[in-house]
Amino acid sequence: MKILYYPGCSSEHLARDLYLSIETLASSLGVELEVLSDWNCCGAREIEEAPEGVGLFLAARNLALAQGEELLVACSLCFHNLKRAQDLLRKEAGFRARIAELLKEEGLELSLKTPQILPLTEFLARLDLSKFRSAGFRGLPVAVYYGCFLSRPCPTDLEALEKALSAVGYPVVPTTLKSHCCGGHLPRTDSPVIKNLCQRLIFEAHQKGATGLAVACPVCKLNLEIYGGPSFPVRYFTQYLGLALGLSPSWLGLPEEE
Amino acid sequence: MRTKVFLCECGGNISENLDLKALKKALASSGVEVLRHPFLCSPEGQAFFEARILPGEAVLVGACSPHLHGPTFKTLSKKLRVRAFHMVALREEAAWIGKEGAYQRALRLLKGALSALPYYQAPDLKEFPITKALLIIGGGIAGLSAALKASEKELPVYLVEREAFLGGKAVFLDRLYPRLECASCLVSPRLSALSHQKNIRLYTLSRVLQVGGRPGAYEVTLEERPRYVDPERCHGCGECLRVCPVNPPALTMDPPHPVPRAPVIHAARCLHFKGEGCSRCKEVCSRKAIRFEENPRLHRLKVGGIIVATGFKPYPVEKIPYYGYKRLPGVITLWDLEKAFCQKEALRGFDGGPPRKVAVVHCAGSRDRRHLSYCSEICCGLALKAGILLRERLSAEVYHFYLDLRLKSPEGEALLRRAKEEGLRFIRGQVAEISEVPLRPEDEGRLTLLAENTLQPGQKVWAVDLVVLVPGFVPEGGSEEVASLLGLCPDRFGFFSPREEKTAPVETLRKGIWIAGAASGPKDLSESVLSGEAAALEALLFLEKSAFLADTEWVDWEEERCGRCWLCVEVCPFKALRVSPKGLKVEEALCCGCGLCASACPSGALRIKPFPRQAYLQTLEALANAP
Amino acid sequence: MPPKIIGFLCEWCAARALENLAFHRPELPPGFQPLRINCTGSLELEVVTKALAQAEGVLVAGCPSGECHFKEGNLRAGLHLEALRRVLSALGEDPRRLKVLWLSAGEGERLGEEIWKFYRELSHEDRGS
Repeated sequence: MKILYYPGCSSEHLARDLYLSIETLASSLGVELEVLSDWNCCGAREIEEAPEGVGLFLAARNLALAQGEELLVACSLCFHNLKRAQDLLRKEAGFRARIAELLKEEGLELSLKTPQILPLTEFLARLDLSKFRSAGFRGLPVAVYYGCFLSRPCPTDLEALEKALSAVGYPVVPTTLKSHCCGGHLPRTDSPVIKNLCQRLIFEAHQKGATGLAVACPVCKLNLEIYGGPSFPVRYFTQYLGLALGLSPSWLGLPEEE
Repeated sequence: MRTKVFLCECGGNISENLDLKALKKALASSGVEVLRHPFLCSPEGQAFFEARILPGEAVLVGACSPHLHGPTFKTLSKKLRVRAFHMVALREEAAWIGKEGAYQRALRLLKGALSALPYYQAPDLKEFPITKALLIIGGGIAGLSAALKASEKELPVYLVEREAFLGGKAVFLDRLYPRLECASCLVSPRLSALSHQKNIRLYTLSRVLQVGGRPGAYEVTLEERPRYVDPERCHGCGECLRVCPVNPPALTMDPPHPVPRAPVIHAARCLHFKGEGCSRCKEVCSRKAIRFEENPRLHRLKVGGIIVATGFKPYPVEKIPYYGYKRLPGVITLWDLEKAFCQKEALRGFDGGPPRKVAVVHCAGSRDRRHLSYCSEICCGLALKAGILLRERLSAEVYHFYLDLRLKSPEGEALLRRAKEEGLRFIRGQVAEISEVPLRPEDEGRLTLLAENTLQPGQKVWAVDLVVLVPGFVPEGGSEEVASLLGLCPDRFGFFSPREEKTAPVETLRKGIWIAGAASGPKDLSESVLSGEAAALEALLFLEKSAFLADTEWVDWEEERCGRCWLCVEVCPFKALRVSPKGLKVEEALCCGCGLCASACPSGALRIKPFPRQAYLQTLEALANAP
Repeated sequence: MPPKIIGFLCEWCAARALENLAFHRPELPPGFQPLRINCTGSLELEVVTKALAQAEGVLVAGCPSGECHFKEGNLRAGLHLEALRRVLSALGEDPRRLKVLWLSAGEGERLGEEIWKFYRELSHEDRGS
C-alpha cells in the first residue's frame, strides 16, 4: 500500500522520535510513505504574527502540490492548518482567487479538488493491526490523549487511538479528559495555568490505573513531560504500537533499555 | 360578474412595505373596484366591508394570512351571499418577505387570484351530528384539569394515560414555587375528585393506536397493557409489595398518592412471568386482586373531540458529556431531586456521604445552540426553590450557577431575597465542566466544577459533593406519534403549535382537537391548569352544539369524461368514494375535500369545487402576464 | 434576468412555515412567488407542467412523511412528482428545475434557506448554459 505523506517541520528536530517511529512502523506494516515532494511548513503558530494570509498561503501551497485522494499528516497542528486552509479554499471564492494568483507566480495550479487530509490516528485505526501483533506480547494498561487539534474545530475520530492500541493488545483505560487542552504554547508566557492543566491530565490517567500515556502530538508530549510531572512514561502512540509489534526500541526513537 | 378587491393596510404592516396606492391603480385599470382600509379586521373595517358588498358580487381580500382572518371574512361573505370569495396573504407572502420585488409579488398575487376568482366555488355547508363524548390524551395535571372541568357537564370523558398512574410530573413535585407550599396538597385533591366523577372513564397503561372519522365524530382505538392487578378489587394495602422476592420489587406503586390505588406488576422483572412459579403476591392478597392471566386489550371509542395533553419531559442531560450525568455519582437532575425529596430518600454526594456543598446548575443544555436553543422559563423558579430546600434540609452550602434569573410572578423576587438572606450564593456564568478529576490536588474525592464568573472575570474552580442539573423542557416521548395520528404539525422543537399563538392558544388547525399543558411549550403548574381548563371549555362549547357545520359536496364528477378506472376510489385516504350502479358515489360525511382523487384521475373527470384545476391554470396564466 | 420560482406551498405546513419565516422579515429572492395549495397530493401534474413552462424553477413544499393533514397526500405527491421528474428527463428537460421539499410548520428558517439554495442553483445553471 502506498500513501501520500506530509511530514511537517517537527519531523526534523522537535519530534525526531515520532517520525522515526512512524517510518519504522510503516515499513513493518507494508505501507509505503510517499513524501510530498517540495513540501513546506504548514504555517505553524509563529507565522500568525507575519503579514496576514502568509500562514494560510503556506498551507495552501502544500495542498496545491498534493495530487491524490488522501494526504497523510502526522502532526496535529499541521493537520489543523491544512484542514483550515482547505476549508477556506472551498468556502471563500475571494481567498481562493488570491491564493491561485500567488501560486501562479511559481507555476503551480490550484486544482478544484484537493486531497482528503487524513490524520495519522485515523489512518492507523483503519488498518487491521491485530494480525501484526507479536506473539506473546502483553500490553500494560495505557490511557490515550488526543489534545485540541484533533478534536476542535475539525473533529477527527476520537476513538481512533483506542481502536489502534487495543487491536495490538493494550488494555486502554477510559478517561474523560482525552481532548482537554494541555496548555499548548502557554510555556512561552510563563503562565501558571499550564501546570494545572498538565498535572490534571496525568492525574486522571494515573487515577484510572494507566501505566503509560499514549499521545499523538509533539507539543502535547513535551508539555505533559515537563509540566505534568508524570510518574509513568508519556509516549507517542506509534511507539506503543511499535513495541507491540516487537520492533526494537531504538528504531522507535526510544532509549535502548526499554 | 362584478368584482370588488379589499386591500388592508394592517395598521402599517402592509402599507409601510407596499405601495398600496400604486397597487390600487394597477388593479383598477383592469376594471375592478378596489377599496382600501387601515384595519379591515376591526369592527369598523368589517362594517366597511359589509356596507360595500352587494349580493352576487365576487370578493377578493388582500390582507393577512387566511389562517388568521380567513374565517372572519369568509363568514361575512357567506352572510352577504357573495358569489365567490378568496383571500390572499399580502402581509406574509409579499409585504414581509423581502423589500426587493415586494410590489411585483403583491401584484402577481392579486392578479393571479383575480383571474382565478370566477372558478372558485364554495362547497355546500351541511350539518353533521356530534358525538357527545370527549377524549383526553395525557393524565398529567393539564389533562386532569381538563377532565375535571369537562366532567361537570354530563358527557362521557375518556382519560388516557400511558403510565400506570395519573398525575404526570406534578405528583413527584415536593414543594411549589414561589410560596414553597406542599405540592400534593394541591394535586392530590384533584386526583381524588377525579376518581369520584362517575362520567370519567380512566385508561391507564394505554396508548392511542388509531384515529379515524372526522371532527365531531372521531373513532379512536386504544391499546391497554395489562396491569395484572384489578384496581376494582385492590384497596392498595401494599402487602404484595412487601412479599415480592425481587429487588427492587416487581410490583410498584411509586407516586405518593397513587391513582388508581393499585400497584402494577412489571412482567419483565416478575418471577411468575419468568416461569419460576412464584405467586407470593397472589397468595398474600386478601382481596384476590392479582390477575396474572390478563392480556392487552383494545378499546374502541367514539368521541366528538380530542384534547391533547401529552406534556413535557426534562431535556436528557446525559447528552451533555462534560456534565457527566448518569456517569458520575453525585450528579443528578432537578427532577431526581424532587423525586428524592418527595419519597424521603436520602441524598448522597460524590463520595457516598451526605452532601455538604451543592452546586445547582441552571440552564443545563438550555440557551445553547448545540442542545436547546430556547429558554424554558419555568426552571429558574424550580431551581431557586430546590436551592432553598437543600439549604434548609441538609444545611448544605448552595451555589447557583445561572445565566439570567427569570423568576415569574411578583413573589419571585421576594423568594430570591429570602434565598440570599439564607446564604445561597449566586454565580453568573455557564458551567464548562463537571469532572471527577480534580484540578487542585486538595479537591480529590469531590466533584470539580469549572465555570466562568462573568461578574468577576476569570475562570473559577469549585469542589462540590452534589451537582443538581436543571434541564429545560422538551416534548414528552410519544408526542410525535400522537402528532402523526392526529395530523398535527409540531413546531421545530416538537411542541404542538396552536392555531394562533396569542389569541387561540388551545385551538389547533384541526377542528375538534385542542391542546393543553406543556405539550405546546414549557408551562408551570398554574399555566397547565389554566390551559387544561380552557381546552375543556372550548371542547364543551363545541360538543354542546346540536350539530357540526362542515363543508360538503366538494367533488364534482363528470360522467362523460370518466373512464371507469376507479383510481380515485383506490387513492381516497378516507374511503369516501365508492362505485355504485349509477357511477361514482361520494360519502359526504367522510369526504374532506383533500383532492387526491382529482389529481389521480387520468382523464380529468373530477373537480374539487373550492380549488379546481382551472383556477390554478388561470392563476399561472396571470402570473406569466404580470411584470 | 434573475430566475423566477413558483412555489406551491401546502396550506397546512409549508405555507405556515413561510408565515413563521415572515415574522422574521427575511429577504427572499424577488423572483419567488408563493402559491397556496390545499395539499401537495391535490396538485395536478397539468398545473405543475404549466408552472414549469412559465418559471425557471418550481418548488413543491408539503408536510413531512406521517404529518399530512389528509393522511397520505404527501406520499401520493412524492410519487407523482418523481414520475414527472422522469418524464422531464426523458424529454430532455432538466429535472432539477422541479424541487420537492418536505417540512413542518416550524421550519420557516429552513424553507428560506432552501428557497435561496434553489435560487442559486438556478442562477448558476443559467450562467453555465
